[in-house]
Amino acid sequence: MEGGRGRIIGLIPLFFLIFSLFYPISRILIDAFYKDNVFTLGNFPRILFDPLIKKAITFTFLQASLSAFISSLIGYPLGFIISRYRFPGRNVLRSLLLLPFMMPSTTVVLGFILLYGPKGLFSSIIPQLRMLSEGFYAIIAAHVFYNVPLVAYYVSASLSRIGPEVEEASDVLGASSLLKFLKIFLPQTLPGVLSASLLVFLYCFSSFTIPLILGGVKFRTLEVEIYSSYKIFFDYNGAAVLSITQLTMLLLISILYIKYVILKTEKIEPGSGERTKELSIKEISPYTKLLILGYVIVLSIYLFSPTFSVIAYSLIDLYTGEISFSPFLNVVSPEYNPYLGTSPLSSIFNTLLFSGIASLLSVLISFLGVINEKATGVYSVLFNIPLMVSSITLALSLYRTYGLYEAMYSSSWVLIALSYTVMSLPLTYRIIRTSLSRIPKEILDAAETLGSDETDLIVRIKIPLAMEGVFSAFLLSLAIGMSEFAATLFLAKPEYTTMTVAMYRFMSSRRFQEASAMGSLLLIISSLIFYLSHKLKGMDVWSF
Amino acid sequence: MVLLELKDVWKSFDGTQVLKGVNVRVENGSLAVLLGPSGCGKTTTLKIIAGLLKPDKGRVYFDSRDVTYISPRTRNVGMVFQTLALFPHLTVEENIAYGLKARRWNSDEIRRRVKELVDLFHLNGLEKRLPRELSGGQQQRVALARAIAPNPRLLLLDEPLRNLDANLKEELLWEIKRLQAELDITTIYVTHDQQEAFQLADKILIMHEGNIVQQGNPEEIYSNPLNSFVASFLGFNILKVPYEKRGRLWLYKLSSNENNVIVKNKRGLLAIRPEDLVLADNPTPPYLEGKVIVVSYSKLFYRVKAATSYGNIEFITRDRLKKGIKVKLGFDQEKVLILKE
Repeated sequence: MEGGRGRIIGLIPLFFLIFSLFYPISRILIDAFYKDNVFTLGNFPRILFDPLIKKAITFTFLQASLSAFISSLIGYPLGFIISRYRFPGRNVLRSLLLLPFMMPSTTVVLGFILLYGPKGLFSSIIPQLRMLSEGFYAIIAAHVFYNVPLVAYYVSASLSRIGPEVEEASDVLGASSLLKFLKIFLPQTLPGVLSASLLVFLYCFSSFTIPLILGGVKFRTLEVEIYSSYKIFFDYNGAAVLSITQLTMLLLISILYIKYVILKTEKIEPGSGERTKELSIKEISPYTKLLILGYVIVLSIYLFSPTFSVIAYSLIDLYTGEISFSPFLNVVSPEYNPYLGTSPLSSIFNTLLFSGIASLLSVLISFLGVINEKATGVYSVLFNIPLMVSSITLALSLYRTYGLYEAMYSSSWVLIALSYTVMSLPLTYRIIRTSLSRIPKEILDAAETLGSDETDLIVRIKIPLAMEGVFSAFLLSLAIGMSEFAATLFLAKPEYTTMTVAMYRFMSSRRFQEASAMGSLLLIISSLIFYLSHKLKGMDVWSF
Repeated sequence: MVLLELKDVWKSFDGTQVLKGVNVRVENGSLAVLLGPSGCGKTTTLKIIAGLLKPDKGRVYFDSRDVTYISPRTRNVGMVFQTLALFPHLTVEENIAYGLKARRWNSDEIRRRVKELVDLFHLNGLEKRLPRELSGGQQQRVALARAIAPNPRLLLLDEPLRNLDANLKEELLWEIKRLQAELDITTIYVTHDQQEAFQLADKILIMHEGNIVQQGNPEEIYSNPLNSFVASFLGFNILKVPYEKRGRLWLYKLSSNENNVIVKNKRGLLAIRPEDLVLADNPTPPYLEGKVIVVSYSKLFYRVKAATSYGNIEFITRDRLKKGIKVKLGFDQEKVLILKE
């Protein structure tokens, strides 16, 4: 960017991040270190030595570690199987694995309640499964549900980097299967598993919806404590202390992650590389075949049943067995307005509106960040900072900074949209940056020799050629906003209820059929989005 | 049209010196070919002329005006890139019109100019196609048309025929030569292929390890290569033959036969063109003796490689020779050049 105007445009992302993230976070710092306008360190011991908080912190670490460990244990063989073995239905399985990624947390929770809760489909067959609907095991089970595909994805990606010739060489040398596994596959996939499990740990560390609904009063994470300190006890100093504590921990873990995982294993990025050698299912011994088959079937049921139960429950009355669309009709009738504070229909509208605005903003800000080439180093760090800030902390900071002004509070949807934007920035920035960096240097050189100036280059070359990336960034950002629950619950006044919050309200009043209908609608919309973004991959301009 | 000069141009990347004081002079309206093996700095030189790279030291002049630090967008230079770099999202006519729009031509002028170029490059009927829907040769012509469209003062071609098959290459070479003469535009053509270079050039600049080692018209260069690099790059046989001083002259002994000698007034390496070696049973001296190691057929004649005591040599013949047989090759002493070692 040349000239004053260009410089200011290039700084817009910085201003935006200051406005919507850094300044609000600094506002929480003030809350944490001040009481009644006097500087004090007293807020910290008061909160952190509270036995309930100590318990919550311990529990947060415990559940995150356990979730990461179990997810890795269960996800590892899955990653191995989907990249090593050819069997009927493998491609279906592979694409269905994306399902948990796009499931809003409220839908997952609902699915667990429907399957394992009282009168649940599975728990009525095996009563012991009841423990997966509430309490400690339920939280771990839901986290595992979310993260098994992630681990599988990383394992499969790191396996695909082992060329067939490596394996063939060791076959020629007469290595046994066990030796081959220990000497080739394990060392090659270990960084991937490590990377995935740390990521799982980070996600679970600031998990909100799952412990909020499935954990009851006994099992509360730090994130849930921040929420209730503010929303139930109106203790903003306490909430700020917890937020800062959580932020510090997330920061430390992220630094460890970057230092020991990303920098050490730079090559472990899913997607590229050669195919690994594949085995047909026929080449395996019957015993192993049975083992694999059993594992895949049980896991598939585990991973896909919550979604199907939500869809089924929205259509089938569990008591009479009749199929009807009445839950959908109920959802759009004004009968439920008192539960939500607004009509269910407008919650759909709100969802689309807030996430639509947020996606546009996020794409725009990211694009401006990417084209400011002089600031690439700074921006590639700044745009990733939202990853370390939990949803509730973000919501709290936005609310404490801007929500206290009457004008802002009465339009709290602005804050909701802002929070969605901030949350999707790391992803949109990354996607748009990748798609711009794919434009060959010679194309830009050619445009320049033909007389293009900087603006001309952006408008006529960079934007059209990065369009695919911009679109998929927009759609993914839309999906993030639509499934968001924590920040929305924190920020939304009743009239700004979104679909996930509506689901939560229905669940709280034990109207599971209506919750399922809302969940199904959300699923339909987000599947549509993923379908579209998948379609876009086919329109690649570079395909010649 | 422009008179192009590069004076003492230096450029390094990450500590590697790529250009080491390049001097170039290309006359108004002529076609100069920058010839050299890959990695010798040809593309870097071209990019410095286009303004896409700035030299570390040295100057670039267009008609004696210093343009070293003028941005590529105002230099008015047309360039065809190795990869062609067609804009994949634009049609043929939009590609051609790109530079005209960037230079704010009005739409009537643009339409007229695009039509003109479509005709000139035989692209009629392809105007609405995207680059990926064109054949290699068509893509190549679009790239040329796009570069020429804004009437550049200077045309730079960076191995534009690299990825084409031999027949198409041949055809397009003639076309480029014809167009260049017709448009009378100063052109620099970069290639590593001496065949291409000799076919096209008014002037050849031979580049080696970041220097221009020789420049001149094709006939000059072929008849008088300045050093052994140029000679061997152009396909000369280079022989290291022992010599001894005889008065003011040097005597090169080609075999144990007392008469089989060459007498020259310089010492160094012997260089002789393949076509100057004549296969004979009992040649009059001087002659070379060797053993055939490879024979390859090339339509009008055979190209043969043979091993001699002074290095491998190549010659051409109409006879089909068997591998392993002994040959004698006579030549005219006057055709032998002596080059610095």
